[in-house]
Amino acid sequence: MEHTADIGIRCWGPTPDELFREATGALIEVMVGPVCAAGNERLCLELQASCVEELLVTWLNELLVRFEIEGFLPGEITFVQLEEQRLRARLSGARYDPARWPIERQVKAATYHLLQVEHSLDTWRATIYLDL
Amino acid sequence: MSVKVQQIDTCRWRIPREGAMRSEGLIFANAGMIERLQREKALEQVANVATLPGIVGPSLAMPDIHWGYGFPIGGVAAFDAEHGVVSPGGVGYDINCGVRLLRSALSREEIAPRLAELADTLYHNVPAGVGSQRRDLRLTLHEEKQVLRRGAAWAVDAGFGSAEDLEHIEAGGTLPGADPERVSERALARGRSQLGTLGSGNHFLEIQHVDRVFAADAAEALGLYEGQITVSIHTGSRGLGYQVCDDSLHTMLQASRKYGISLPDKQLCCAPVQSPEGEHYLAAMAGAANFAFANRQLITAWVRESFERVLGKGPAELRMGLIYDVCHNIAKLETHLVAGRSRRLCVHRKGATRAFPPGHPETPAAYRQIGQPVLIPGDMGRYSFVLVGTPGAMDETFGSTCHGAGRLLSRHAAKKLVRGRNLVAELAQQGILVRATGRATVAEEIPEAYKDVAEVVEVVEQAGLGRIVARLRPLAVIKG
Repeated sequence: MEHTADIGIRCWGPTPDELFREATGALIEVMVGPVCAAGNERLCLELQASCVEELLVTWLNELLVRFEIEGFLPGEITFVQLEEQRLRARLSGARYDPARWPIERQVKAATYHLLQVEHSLDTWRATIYLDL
Repeated sequence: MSVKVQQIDTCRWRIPREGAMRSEGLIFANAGMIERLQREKALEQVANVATLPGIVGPSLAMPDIHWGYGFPIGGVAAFDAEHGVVSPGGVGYDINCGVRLLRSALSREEIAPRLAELADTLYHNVPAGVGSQRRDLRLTLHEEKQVLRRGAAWAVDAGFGSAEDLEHIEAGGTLPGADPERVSERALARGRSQLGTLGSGNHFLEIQHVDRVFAADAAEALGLYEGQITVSIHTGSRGLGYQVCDDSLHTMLQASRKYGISLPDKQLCCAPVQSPEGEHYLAAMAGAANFAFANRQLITAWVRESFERVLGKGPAELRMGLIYDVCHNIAKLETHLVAGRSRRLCVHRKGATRAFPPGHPETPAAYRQIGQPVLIPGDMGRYSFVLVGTPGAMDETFGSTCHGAGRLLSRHAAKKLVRGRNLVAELAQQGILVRATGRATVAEEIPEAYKDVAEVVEVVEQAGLGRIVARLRPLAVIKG
């Protein structure tokens, strides 16, 4: 989505799990392009927040930090639990290889600016702005 | 939401107080800028900031204002230190992102034959882009905490630069009140390998020449003259600052609920300055700000080394003294005269630069007659400016002015515009060498993506928020 200084992402899916996966894919695309990071790296995450919007931002920022500190680039994501205020996930992915996936741009963080998660009968939608 | 804007004069526009706003908005801009702003959300953001408790005076925006997240970029807001709030969104993720400027005794002609070698050496010696770092700099946790406590002073004691440098840095290169114990382990982990790195995005390292002096008295005091080579460094607190901000936002979202502060945008979450949450944030933020001061100090040392090696000259010959170093993403406790009364305020500058006038005690002794130097980078194809602070800034903007050109095009629009063009070759034809790591960086940072910074500083000078001293043109640009 257009934003003067940063980038906004709008994503949707039939379930919250799918929505969170789509948002993850969008974040990765902004950082390194549309890659499929299959690999043997494994990660288990357990996160909490006050509401589902904040949980989505917490999730994306957790992945950003794991990428920056550990070089973990997520591929397959299984949500063991995904509720309004809590998630547990098992992730497999690859160790980041800059030669294979050159950095497009650095994302500082997923922000709370104009953050939205809404759902109708069969679709979950989210709007998130990333600080670049 | 459409925001009402009333013209006051040629460079001032008011957003009248309405709804939940506790004060009005005041924007410094020309008519063309205001017209462009109507198409994005920055004006709404100025109004949103005015709703926060304890705001003193208007919610301000400088002429480089553009749509940010929470606060607008180019936003300034002061809150009563006793009854007002502090908001991490009013500082941003890149805490103490800032600019420093080095002078030299070199002329443009002198370095012309070695410019490419200088650019390559700087690109090699100063880590730029995601994940790059100097292999010869390894910090222990104890050392990193010292960096957070002492900022540029730590770097000088570690052999990077001189005590004289510290005199020419905002706050002397050490923001008081920093407490590394208030910084999370995760933030420390993100920072440890990133000290002494440029980063990416709009951060840069630039060799420039002074192509025009506008105010001879001030230029002389700053040691600037036409044809002279200067070096600018623009970077901040890297991952450490981003994490301090993110950690604080979690706390502040809860604090806003706890203190009953209603938020028009969650990114504006805040807490009273004098609350455990507010004090915690300010202590952590000061640590991140000190990390940024040390970061720019280390890069300065490597810039000097690079010049010495390539040109085979010593420091005494090169005379690469630090002119000044300013923060443009920061919250500071300052004393200002408000309606004739001296008040302690928490001044947020989000994409705005402090611009203290001549005679101010915080202006370095060497510049006391001319005012605090203000460094305003433009884009990589045109120019940057050096200004000095003025009494007008103290009267109207809590001693603040603009921080840069301000973006005009989104990154997407910029990339679309450059499709099929070889930007690096285009800039080389104009005599500007570019060395960059990120694939998208150069495309998204094209000169056309930014406002003409000359237009921005003209409004600043016209409004009395700064005095233009000199214009610098880029010769070589290093980007992440």
